[in-house]
Amino acid sequence: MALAATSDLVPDPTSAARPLKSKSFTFTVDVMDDEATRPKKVTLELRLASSNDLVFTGGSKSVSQDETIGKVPVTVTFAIKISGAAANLGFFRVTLFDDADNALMACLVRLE
Amino acid sequence: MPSQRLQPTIAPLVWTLRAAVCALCAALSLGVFTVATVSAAPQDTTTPPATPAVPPLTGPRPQQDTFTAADEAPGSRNVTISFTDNFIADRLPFDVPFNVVGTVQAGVRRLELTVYRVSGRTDLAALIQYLQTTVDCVGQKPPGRRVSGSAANVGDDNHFSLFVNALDPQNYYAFCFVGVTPVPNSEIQNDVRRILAAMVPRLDTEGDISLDLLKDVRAAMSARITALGAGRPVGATIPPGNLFDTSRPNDPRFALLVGPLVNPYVAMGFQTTNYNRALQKLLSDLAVARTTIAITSDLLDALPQVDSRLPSRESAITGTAAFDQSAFTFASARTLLDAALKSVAGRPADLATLNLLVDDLKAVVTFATAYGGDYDRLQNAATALVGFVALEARSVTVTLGSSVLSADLARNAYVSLDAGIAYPWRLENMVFYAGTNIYFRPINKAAPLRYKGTFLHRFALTVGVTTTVKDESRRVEDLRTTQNNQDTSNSLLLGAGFRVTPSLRVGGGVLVFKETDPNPLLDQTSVVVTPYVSFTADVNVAEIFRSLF
Repeated sequence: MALAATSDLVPDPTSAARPLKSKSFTFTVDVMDDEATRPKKVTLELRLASSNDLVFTGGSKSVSQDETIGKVPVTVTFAIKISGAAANLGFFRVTLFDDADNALMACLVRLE
Repeated sequence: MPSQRLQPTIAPLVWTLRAAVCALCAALSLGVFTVATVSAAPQDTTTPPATPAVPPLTGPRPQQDTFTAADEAPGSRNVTISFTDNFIADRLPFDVPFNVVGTVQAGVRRLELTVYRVSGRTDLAALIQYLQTTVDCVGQKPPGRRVSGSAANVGDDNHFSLFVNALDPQNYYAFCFVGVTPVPNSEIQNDVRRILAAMVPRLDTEGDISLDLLKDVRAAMSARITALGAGRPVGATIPPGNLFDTSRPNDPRFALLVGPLVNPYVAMGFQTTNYNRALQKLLSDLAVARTTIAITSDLLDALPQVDSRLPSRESAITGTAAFDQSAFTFASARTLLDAALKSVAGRPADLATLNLLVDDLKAVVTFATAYGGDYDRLQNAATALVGFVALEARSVTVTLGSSVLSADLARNAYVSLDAGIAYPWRLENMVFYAGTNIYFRPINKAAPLRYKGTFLHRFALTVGVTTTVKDESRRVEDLRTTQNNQDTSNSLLLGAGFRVTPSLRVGGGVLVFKETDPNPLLDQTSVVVTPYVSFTADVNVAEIFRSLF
């Protein structure tokens, strides 16, 4: 299996005012498995950097969801909420991982 | 009847005035009143300096000791200078503020003027040499006293006008100009792209981007921009409020501009990994395929090669060419692979091998395409930032260096003529007199005493001759009598005066006259003095002479 993002991880909105109070975001990315012989169910995980105080709903640093991925890129969307003071942060990073803990793509969201 | 005594005829006064002028001429020719107050500077501009080490004075010209319109006509105090000729065209006025006017080369946005004063020519040489080594007309410790400083923006027609404080005469001056110009766009754009390319990787961290990191990156860019144009004597000056003004810890505009740069840059890192992995897999599968299938040389040539590398992320910032998508579509390879697939129809193993190559090639193209999209986004973001920086750079200025002009203000001490009324003590009547006033410094009567009213601006010695002094009770006779007293006789006035307005003065001193002996049997006279007070009007001698000749 060789999961890979074929597009940017696109946040919406691209910026937010700090502190974040259950701020809703969607993160969209196209993912494919160029070695898959047929689509397979995989678990994708979105993680926040461990160095900041931002968390997803429930206080977790990561959220995951299952997707069925094959050779044809699939658009994956994460709709999540993020909270935290984010003091002294200019941008916070969100990284997409596969279930083998490989980083597939990342993006940075600007804080105002 | 004192009022009657105050009504002399005009003729005696005119005669007295003529006598005073003649006396003044004689005195001046004998050098009696030539007060050597000017410096040793030659008054002839054609005379070379005494010592080779002394830089030639570039102005002012002409050096006649006459007042100029700039001296005497308030509102017309413009002194023209020429940087081309390195010359101050007009004589400098003194004791009154004036404007230095002229033109500068196109592109100079701002001109700053600092005027230094020194008292001796040797000092002036040292001062000029020092200022010429500075770029800001200040340096560390200029060997002269700063007496005026001003700055002005240069107009669209390249004309400028700079204010200069009132200068004291009998000194030498150095006029030091600093030109300031914007950093040329052509110069800053390439530099800014290079700076961006050097700085953006710092933002490509594994984690977040802190405000401190933004601040550091912005400060580093500021430092680099300040140092733009290496080889200039001083770096650029970033004005307050500019994007790269480091006096503010953070500028939200910077994060706004950096955002569109960061995400494509980060994504390109992932896509580079994906592309290289896919390329490696294709090359590996191709090697395996060639052991079982005959791959044509055309197909081999059309497929991606080991060196089919993506352009670097930095090139998207430093370059202006768009990503060459056509170089990564490998369309001919796909066509040839399709043909090969048809040729192996019925051979499942070969078909599977070739299909694997088709999938590998698709992956390579997919990642290259994704990379290309990010490349263009990064390039657009960089162009936007460079464009913004270019706009900001219009207010980023660099100093062109200094130009130094020197000037002397060697003027003679002022000698004026005045005429007025003197009241001698212990005499029956007042006398008219005309005299000369000898100041101990040059005097510009256009200079308001309110601002330039020191003691030496007001005080002068007075030597004068009077109309006939009469006092029968004291048996007064004039010092200079005429035959049978048919004509006006004169006595001498010695004293000093003090200007209360630019032209009116009060004075005092002694009136020197003769007195006959009170014994009628003795025909003997003696020279006596009596104090006087006077009220007179100053007359400019130079103007009198000009009107005479």
